[in-house]
Amino acid sequence: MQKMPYNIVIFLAVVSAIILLMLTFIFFMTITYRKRQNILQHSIERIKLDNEKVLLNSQLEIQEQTFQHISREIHDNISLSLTLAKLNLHTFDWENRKRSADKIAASIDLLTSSIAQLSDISKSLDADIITHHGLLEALEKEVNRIRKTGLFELKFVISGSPVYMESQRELIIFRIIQEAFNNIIKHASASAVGLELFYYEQKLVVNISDNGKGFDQTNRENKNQAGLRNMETRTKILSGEMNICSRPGTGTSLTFNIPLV
Amino acid sequence: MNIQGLVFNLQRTYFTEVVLFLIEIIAILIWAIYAPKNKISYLFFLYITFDLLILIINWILILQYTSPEIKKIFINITNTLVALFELFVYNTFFKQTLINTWIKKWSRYSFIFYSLITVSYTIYSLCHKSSLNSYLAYSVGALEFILLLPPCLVFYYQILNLSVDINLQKRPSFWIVTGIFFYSIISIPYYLLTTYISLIKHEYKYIYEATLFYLPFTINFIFLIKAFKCKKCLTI
Repeated sequence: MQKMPYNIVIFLAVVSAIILLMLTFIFFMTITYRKRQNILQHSIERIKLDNEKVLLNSQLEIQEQTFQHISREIHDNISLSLTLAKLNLHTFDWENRKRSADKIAASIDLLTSSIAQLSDISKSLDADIITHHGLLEALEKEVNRIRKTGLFELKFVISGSPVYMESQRELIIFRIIQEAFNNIIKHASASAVGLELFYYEQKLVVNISDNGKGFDQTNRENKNQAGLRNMETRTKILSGEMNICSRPGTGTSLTFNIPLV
Repeated sequence: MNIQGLVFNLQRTYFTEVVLFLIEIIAILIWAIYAPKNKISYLFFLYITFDLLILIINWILILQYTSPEIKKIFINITNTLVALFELFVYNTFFKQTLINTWIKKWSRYSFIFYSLITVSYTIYSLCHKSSLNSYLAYSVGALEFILLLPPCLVFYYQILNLSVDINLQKRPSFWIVTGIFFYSIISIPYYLLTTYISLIKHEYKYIYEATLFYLPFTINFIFLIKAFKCKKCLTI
C-alpha cells in the first residue's frame, strides 16, 4: 500500500515528462515552420517585384523605341516632304501655268505621303499593340519598320500553329526580339538577318541569326554583354532558356526556348 | 462475470486503458462528424475501430475468466494483426503525403518486408515453444516502429522546406505524423525492454506499460482527433 503513492508519483512524473517533451517539440516545429514560411513569402514577393520591374522596364523601353522611331520618321521623312512641298509652293510661278501645275501635283503627292506617314505614326503610338493585336502582328510591324531602313535583308518565318499567350509574356518576348535587333543594328554589321518563330505543342522557339561579324562570348568586356544579360533575365522570367552561338567572323545565332504556359 | 478482475487489471495500468477506450470512441465520433470521407480517412477509421474492438474483446476475455494461455494467444495474434494493419495504414498515408520517391518506395517495401518477418515469426513460434518467443515477439513489434520512423523524418523535412500557405496547426498531416512519430519513438524502447522489465524489474512492469505503451497510444489517437478536426484532406 505504501508503494502505491510512490508508483503514482513515478507514473505522473513520466506522463508529465512525455507530454512536456511533445509540447516542446510541437512548439519548436511551429516556430521553425513559421520562420520558413516568412522567408519563402519574402522571396516570392521579391521575385514578384523583380518580375514587375522587368515588365515595367520592358514597357518603357518599347515606348522609348517607339518614340525614337517616330522622331526619326518625322525628321527623316515627314519633315523633308513638308519642306519640299513648302518650297514648291514658295516658288510657285503664276506666269508659267504648266510648270505651276507640275509643282502643285508634286506638292499634293508630298502632302499625301506625309499624311500617310503620320497615319502610320499615330498607329505606332498605340503602346498596347501587343494587347490588342498580339505578338505576331507587332513583330510584322517591327520587321517592316526595320526593312524600310534598308540596313540588311530581313527574313521572317513562322512555323507551326501560332497560339496567343498572355499579353505580358508576349510583351517580354517582343522586347527580347527588339533588343536582339538593336544589337544587330548597332554591332553586327550584318547584311542578312533571319527571325524564325517555331510554335510547338508546349513551347515557342525563337531564333534570331545574322551573318555579321560575331563576337567572342568569353570576352567579359564585350559591349554586348549588358544587352545579352537583359535578354537572359527576361527569358528566365518566362521560365525559358537562352542559347548563344557566336564566334568572331561567323555571325551570331540566338535561340530562345520559351514554354507556352 | 469477473468485474473485480477487470477493475483490478485496469487499476494496475492506472486506468490508462479506460482513457484509451474513451479517446478511441471520441475519435470515431469526431471522424464521423468532421473528417472528409476518402480512402485514407476510411483507413484511419478502420484502424481506430479495429483497435477498439480488440480492446473490448480483451476486456470481455478478462470478464469471462478466460485462461491465461488463451489470453496470451489472443494478445499475440491481435498484436501482430494490429501492427500489420497499422503499418499498412500509415504507409498508405505516407505514400500519398510525401513527395520524395525514395521514401515512397521505402513505405511500399517496408510493408512487404515486415509482412514476411511477421509470417516467419508466426510460423517459427508455432513450431518452436521457447522462452525466446516472447522476446522475438516484442522485437518484431519494435521493428514496425523502426520502419515508421524514416517517413516521419522525411515528412518533417518536407514541411519545413516545401512551404504551403496553411498554418501548421491546421495541417492534418502534421498531427497524424507527430502522433505516430512520438508513438514510435517511445514504443521502440518499450518493446525492446519489456521482456527485461517483466523478468527483472517486475514491480515497475505496470508503470512501464501504462506510461510507455498506453499513454503514447492514447496520445496518437488524440492527435488523430486533432487531424480530423482540421476538416481538410488528411494528406495536406
